[in-house]
Amino acid sequence: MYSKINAMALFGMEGVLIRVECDASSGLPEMSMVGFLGAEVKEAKERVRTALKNTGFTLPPRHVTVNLSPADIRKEGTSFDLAVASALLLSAELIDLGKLPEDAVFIGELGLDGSLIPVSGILTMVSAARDAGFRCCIVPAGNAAEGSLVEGIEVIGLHSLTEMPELAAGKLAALPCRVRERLEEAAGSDEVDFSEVNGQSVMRRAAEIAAAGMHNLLFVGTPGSGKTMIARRIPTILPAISLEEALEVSKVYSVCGLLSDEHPLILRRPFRSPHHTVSPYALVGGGAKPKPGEISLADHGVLFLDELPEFQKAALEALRQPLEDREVHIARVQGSYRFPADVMLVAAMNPCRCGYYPDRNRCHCSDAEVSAYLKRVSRPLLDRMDLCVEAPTLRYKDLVRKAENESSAAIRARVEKARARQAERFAGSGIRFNSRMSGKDVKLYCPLDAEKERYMKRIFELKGLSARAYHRILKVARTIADLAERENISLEDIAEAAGYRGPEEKFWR
Amino acid sequence: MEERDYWYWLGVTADLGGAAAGRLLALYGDAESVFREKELPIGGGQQAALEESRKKLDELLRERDAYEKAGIHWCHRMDACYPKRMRDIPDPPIILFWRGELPPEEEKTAAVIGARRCSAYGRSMAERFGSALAKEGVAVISGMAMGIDGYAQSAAVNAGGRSFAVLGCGVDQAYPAVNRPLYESLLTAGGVISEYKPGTPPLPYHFPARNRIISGLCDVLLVIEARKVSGTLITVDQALEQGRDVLALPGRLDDPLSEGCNQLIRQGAGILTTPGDALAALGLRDAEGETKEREAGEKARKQAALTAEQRAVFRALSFDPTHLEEIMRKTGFSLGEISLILMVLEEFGLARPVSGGQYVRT
Repeated sequence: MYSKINAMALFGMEGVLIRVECDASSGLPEMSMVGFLGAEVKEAKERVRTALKNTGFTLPPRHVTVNLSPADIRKEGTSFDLAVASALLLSAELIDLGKLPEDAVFIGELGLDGSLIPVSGILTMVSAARDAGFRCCIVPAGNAAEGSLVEGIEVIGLHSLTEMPELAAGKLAALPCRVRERLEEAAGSDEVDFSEVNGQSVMRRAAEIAAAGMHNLLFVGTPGSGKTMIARRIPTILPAISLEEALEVSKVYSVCGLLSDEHPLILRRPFRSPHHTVSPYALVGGGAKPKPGEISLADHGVLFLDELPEFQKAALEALRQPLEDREVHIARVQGSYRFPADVMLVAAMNPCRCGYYPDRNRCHCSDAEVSAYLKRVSRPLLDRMDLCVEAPTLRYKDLVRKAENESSAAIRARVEKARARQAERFAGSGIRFNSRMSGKDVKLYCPLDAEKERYMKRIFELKGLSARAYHRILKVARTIADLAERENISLEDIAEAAGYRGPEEKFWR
Repeated sequence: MEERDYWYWLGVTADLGGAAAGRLLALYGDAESVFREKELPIGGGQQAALEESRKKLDELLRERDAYEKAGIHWCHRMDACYPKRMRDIPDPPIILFWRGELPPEEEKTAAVIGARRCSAYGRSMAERFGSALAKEGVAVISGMAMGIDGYAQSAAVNAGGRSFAVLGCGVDQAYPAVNRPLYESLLTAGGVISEYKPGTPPLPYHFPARNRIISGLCDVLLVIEARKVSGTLITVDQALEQGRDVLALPGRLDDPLSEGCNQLIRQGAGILTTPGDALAALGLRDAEGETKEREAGEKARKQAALTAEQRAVFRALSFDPTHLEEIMRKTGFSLGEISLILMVLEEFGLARPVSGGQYVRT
C-alpha cells in the first residue's frame, strides 16, 4: 500500500517541506531508500527497521520503497527517522493515523530502542510548518517545549514509538503555547546591572549613546579599567527584546542546537564574546553545511570583541559585509544561505602592547610600536565604529565607593525614549536607528544652520578630520540630541560627538 | 689633485675612526701626508682597508662632485667655513656635510635635547623653549630625533626662527621618517648636518658620536627630559667636556623622565625655569625681562578673554594628561559642555589633546 508523511528539512535558517513516500508491494523482502540522500539519511533504514522491531511492530515481508521528495534536494540530518517509521507503519497497515498524514509534520530521530531523540532546528522547522498551513507537528518530547513556542500550531511531544497507537487514537495532548508569558517573566531579570559599575562616567555615557542609536562602540584603555564590565552590561540598557526578535534569535540558536528543554527560548538580548582566536567561519558562519556564526548568535544583541587587535585579520575583515548588510550571505552549490546579523558591535582594545600609552612613565613602547599596534585593526573596520572612548585608569576611591550608581533600568528608560523619537522620525523610511542613516539621510534628518555649519568647519580644520568622520559625528550628535529630547542638534552635541573620535585620527598620537 | 681632495678622502674613509684619524693628523700634519705615507702606525686590517680606498680615490671624488651638484655641501677641519665653535673641542670631526646652511658664527645657538619617548609635559616644555628661543633670534640645535628634539625644532621653525639638526646618518636621509616634514622645513629654515657621507645608514653607534657635534655647535645646552641612563646624558657629558654651559629643566622627583635632569641640577647644572634663564646663560640678559613679559602677557591676555566656565575647565587641566572623566568631576559640567569649551581652548592654543580622552595645558 502507498502512504505519504510530511517531514521537514533544514537548509541554513529555512525549513523546507519534504514528503516521505512509502510503498509496500509484493516481491523479494527488501527495503530501499531513494531521493538524493546524505549518508546519515541512508542509515535511517537500519535505525527505523530495528526501532520498529524493538517496539513490537513486526513488518510483513514485502518489497518496500521509501522516497524522499522533492528528489532533487540533497537531504541531510537525522530528523527524517520518525517520518520514515510512520510511513512504513502506514504502508504495512499496522496503524491508522486518521487525518494526521495530511495535516501534521513528523520530525525526529530514532534510537534503536524506538525512543525519540531531540534534533536541532525545531523552532525553524515548526514555524515553517505553520507557515505552510499545517495544523500540527509531531516532535521528540525533548523538543516539545521549544516547538511549542510557535504560535498558531499544535505541537505534540513523543517519547517513543510505543506511543504511536495513542497518537493515532488522539490521546496525546499538545503543549500549550506559553511564549508571551515566558518573555514577560524574563523581563528585567538580568543577571548583571549598570549599578555595579563605579565611576567611569565617560564610558557609561558612551554606552548609553551607543545603545540609543545602535552605534558600534570601541573602548580603548588600560588593562583592568572596566571595558569588559561595561560591555557586558550594554544588553541590559537596550530596550527589552520583542517577541519577533526573540523568536528570530532563538531560531539561530535552534539551528545551532543550543536550545535545551529547560531554556527553549532566548529571553534576553544576546551578548556574545568570542575569544580572539576565533576563526572567520566561527565568527560569521560557514562550513560545508553552513551554520550560523557568532555574529548571528548575537542577532538583536551585542557582539563583543575583546582585545580587538589580537583577532585574526581574516576574521575581522569577514565582519565588514555582515555589519553593512545586517545579514550574512553564504553561497554554496546547493543554494545560498542567509543568516540574520543585526548586531551592535562593541570592541575593546589596549592603546599599545603594554596597555599604558600615553602614560610615559609606565609605557615604554616606542611611537612606532604604538602605531603598529593600532594598525593591526584595519581602517575600514574602524570606520564602522561610530563611537570611540578612552577608558581612564580607575582610582582606588572609585573602586571601593559604595555610593548608589544609576541602574540599568533608569538608563534603559532614557534609551527607550530616544528610540521612540527615532521611530517617529524615520517612520516609513525603512531606517530604524540613527546609526543606519546613509549620507543622504544625514543631510535630510540632521539639518545644520549656518552657525553649526561654521562650527563643523572649525572642528574639521582643527582636528584634520576625514569626510567620513563628518557623517559619523552628525549621526552620533543626532543620537545625543535624541537622548536629551532636543528637536535640533546643538553645538554641545556636535562637540561631544566629535570627542568620541577613533584611534585612526592622526591626533591620537 | 688638490689638498681638499685628500681631506675629503680622509674624511669619508669610514674604516678609520675619528680618533685614529685625529692621531694620524697630529703625527703627519695634513691629509695629503697621511695619504702618501704607506707605513702608518695602525693595525694591519685598517692598513689594508686604507690601501683599498686609496685606489678608489677617483671614484670617491666623482661621487663628491655629484653630491655638490645635488646641493650637499661639505667642508673639512682646515676650511675657513668650518664652524669655529667646533675647532676647540676634543676630537672634532674631520669633515662635515650639510644641506641648507651651517649655524652662523655671529648668532647665538642653544641645543635643546631630551628623551625620545617624552611625556606630555616634556613636549609642552620643548615646544615652549624652542619657540621662545627662536623668537629671540637664537638658533635651536638638536638631533631631529623623535620626542623632545623634534618638538623643540618644529616649534622653533614654526615660530619663524632657525634650527639645525645634526644627524646620525647621511644628510640625504630624513631619519626618523616621522620627522620628514621637519627635515624638509629645516632645508630652508636652517640646515641638516652630519659627519657621515650621504648614503650612510643610521647605525646605532653613530648617535653617541653625533651627540658631540650637537654640543659642539651650541653655546648653551638645555636638557628638557632625561632618564637616569640615557643618550641625553651622554650629550651632557660631552658638552661639559667641551666647556659648554648646561641648564636642566627641573621635574617631579617621582618622575623617571625627570630623574636625569634633577640629578644634573644636583651636580651643579643651571636650573632652566624660563627662556630667560637660557638667554642669561647666552649673555642676552637684557632680553630676559622682555620675554618673560611677553610670554606672561600673551598667556594672560588669552586667559583674560575666557568666560567663567572656560576658565573652570582650563583650571582643571595641568601639564600632565587629564582625562575627561577628571575634568567632569572637577567642574561638574556635562560632557557636551566640556567638549565645546575644550574646542575653544584648543583654538586659543591653551589646551591640546594627547590621546583619545586626555588633555593637557600648552
